[in-house]
Amino acid sequence: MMKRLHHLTLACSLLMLAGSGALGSDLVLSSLRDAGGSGFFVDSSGQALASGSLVQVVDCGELTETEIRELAAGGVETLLNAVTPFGDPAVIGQGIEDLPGHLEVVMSVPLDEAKSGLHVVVLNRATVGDATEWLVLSVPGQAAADDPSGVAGFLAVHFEDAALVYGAETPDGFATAASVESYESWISTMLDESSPASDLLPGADPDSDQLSNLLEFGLGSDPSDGGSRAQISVRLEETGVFMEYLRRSNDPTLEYTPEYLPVSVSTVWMPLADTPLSVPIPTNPAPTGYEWKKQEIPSATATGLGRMRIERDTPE
Amino acid sequence: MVVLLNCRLATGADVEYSDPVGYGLWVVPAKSTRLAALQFVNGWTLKGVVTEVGADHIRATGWISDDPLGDSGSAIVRFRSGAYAGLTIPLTHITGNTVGLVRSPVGMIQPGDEFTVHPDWTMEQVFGEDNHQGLLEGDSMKTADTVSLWNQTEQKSHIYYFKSGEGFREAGNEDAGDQLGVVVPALSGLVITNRRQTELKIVLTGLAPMPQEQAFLWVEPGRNILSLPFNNVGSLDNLFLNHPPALHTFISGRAAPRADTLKLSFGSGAKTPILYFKEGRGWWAVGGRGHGGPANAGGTPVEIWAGMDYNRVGPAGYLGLRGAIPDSSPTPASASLAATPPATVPVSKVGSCKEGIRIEWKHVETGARYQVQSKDYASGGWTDLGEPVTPTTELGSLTCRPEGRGELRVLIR
Repeated sequence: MMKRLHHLTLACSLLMLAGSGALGSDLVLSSLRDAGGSGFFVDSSGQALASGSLVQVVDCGELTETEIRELAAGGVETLLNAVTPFGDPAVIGQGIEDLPGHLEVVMSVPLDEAKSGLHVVVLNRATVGDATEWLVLSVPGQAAADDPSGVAGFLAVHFEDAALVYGAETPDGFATAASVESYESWISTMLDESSPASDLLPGADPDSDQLSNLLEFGLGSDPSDGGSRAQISVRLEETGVFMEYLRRSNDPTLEYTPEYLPVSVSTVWMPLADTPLSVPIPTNPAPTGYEWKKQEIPSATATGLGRMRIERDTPE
Repeated sequence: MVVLLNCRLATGADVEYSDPVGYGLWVVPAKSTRLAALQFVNGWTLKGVVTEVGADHIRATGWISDDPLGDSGSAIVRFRSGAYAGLTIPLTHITGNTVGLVRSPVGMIQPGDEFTVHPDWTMEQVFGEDNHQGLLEGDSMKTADTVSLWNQTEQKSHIYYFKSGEGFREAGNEDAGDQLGVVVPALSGLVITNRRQTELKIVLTGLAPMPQEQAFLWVEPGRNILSLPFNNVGSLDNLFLNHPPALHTFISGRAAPRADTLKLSFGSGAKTPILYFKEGRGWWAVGGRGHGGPANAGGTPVEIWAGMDYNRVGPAGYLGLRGAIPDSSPTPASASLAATPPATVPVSKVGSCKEGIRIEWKHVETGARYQVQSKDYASGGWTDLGEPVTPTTELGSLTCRPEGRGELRVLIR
């Protein structure tokens, strides 16, 4: 770990030297806007990121958004070791008198050619080693190449116009998120070391409760305890009928599809089209790495069944 | 026809002063690029009073020379009085008493306002056929010093350099041949790259069109390279007019990407960080560290000679700026002459040359001796440049290399 951290610091220092000359394309980044609201950058609990939290613009080269998301899900060190720092590191509070949750900076980097595909990594701590959460944003537009005359290129971007790659959107901006525990890591900790390899497979059901390991992983139950049930239910509320369930947050490898079968009118399972809503349940808070969601079942369904379909992208 | 500037001796109540003849050394530090402001203009070739204002022209009465567009073939109109004194608009043509303009003066200029026409510069006028500014020559723009003109419409630079053994060429367009005739718009800015290990000093000279108390600079969306008026405003807080008409100002915002941003470059070689006007907070330096000092930038020093790299986020319009030439009225050569200002003669031509600056005047009085003087704005007083001159032809002249930045004048003794 120390070796990797050292490598990142060295790369940043070299760029600082290169950028100390007169010439350098200017990339202005800002989160500032009208007064009101909380910080633009917050952590997963909604607290504005503290002044001094590290911000690094990176060049992701040929990486796709999916690849960047998966790297970020595996840990910020993993991500930063796979990309190239672009300009000096910045910090939350920079350019705005240490105001938590905001920054306004200029990166000056010599550029022979216009540069697209830039991303911004925001941490919830001042160092990579201390960070427990992070987010990744895609910077729109191209950092302009320096004009051959010697005039620095110029691009100014407001973070409101950036696209979320990893983390979460909030009403006021973006939130950091923790790394995502992989299925392989999870199952190895949930079952005994002596468990046969076949019990570790996503489709296995070592506790014989009719829930596969993948469903137990996705819905927050214990694969070694047949009495542990998946957290999924149908609730009748004043405004309609809802499917409510616990799901993993920020796991880009899992795709959740709640389905329903209106038995009186059809024999075909259909996905719920309604957008999942976040439903914090104070009496039963979601464990770390999970979140409560609910989706409405169409009201025309007098009687029917509901189920959850979970699909996992298998790493190549 | 030789155009004489409108400079008269003080005779009775009818007193007029010429536009000050300005000079200055623009420093480009070693191995660096700087924006050099062309705050000076050629002498006027048309002087008139507006009689009618149209969407693309003015009509006027006045005096015109035989060659109103000069060597460059293009010129600007500088309005000298009225609410928008200091406004400059490029002209398209002069036909009879009509002066065509590239932008509408309606709403800004009124009948009765005075104006002058000044030919634009050419590269030859600024740098000379003999490369008298001493730009480093080379086989390509990568080895030679470069001089660039920013094209606002194209949003890119046209780059020029002295090609060894051939002459002044445009980079990437060398086959087009000599480029000394390229127009350098009056009151524009040049981007100069110095590739030497030592600083480069560019001598710029010409007339400072009065008044300088305010100026209105046209900006278009995107990057603009501009020359500020002479100013002694001291700091950024005082640079822009406080209450210009709504459309004639910078665009402020809560964040830099939502506001016009600017970088100033000074004759001393100094320059500022990226600045913008932050709503509710004033001038702001992008990226100023809160824990390393305030980001508020209203106190940023503004030197008297400044160029501006300006990025416009909104629509085209004018910026209203404040300026002034320090003590621009004629000043006594010594305390003993305070009650009787010295007699000056009109400067007919001034330009840079290998020796520095060449200044010419009309020899008006047989046997008269003339003394050229300079006033460095930093030190303030007038000092003699060289020995008195007794011309042997109808033109008097002197070459000189005054230090710093200031004014020149010619006394008759």
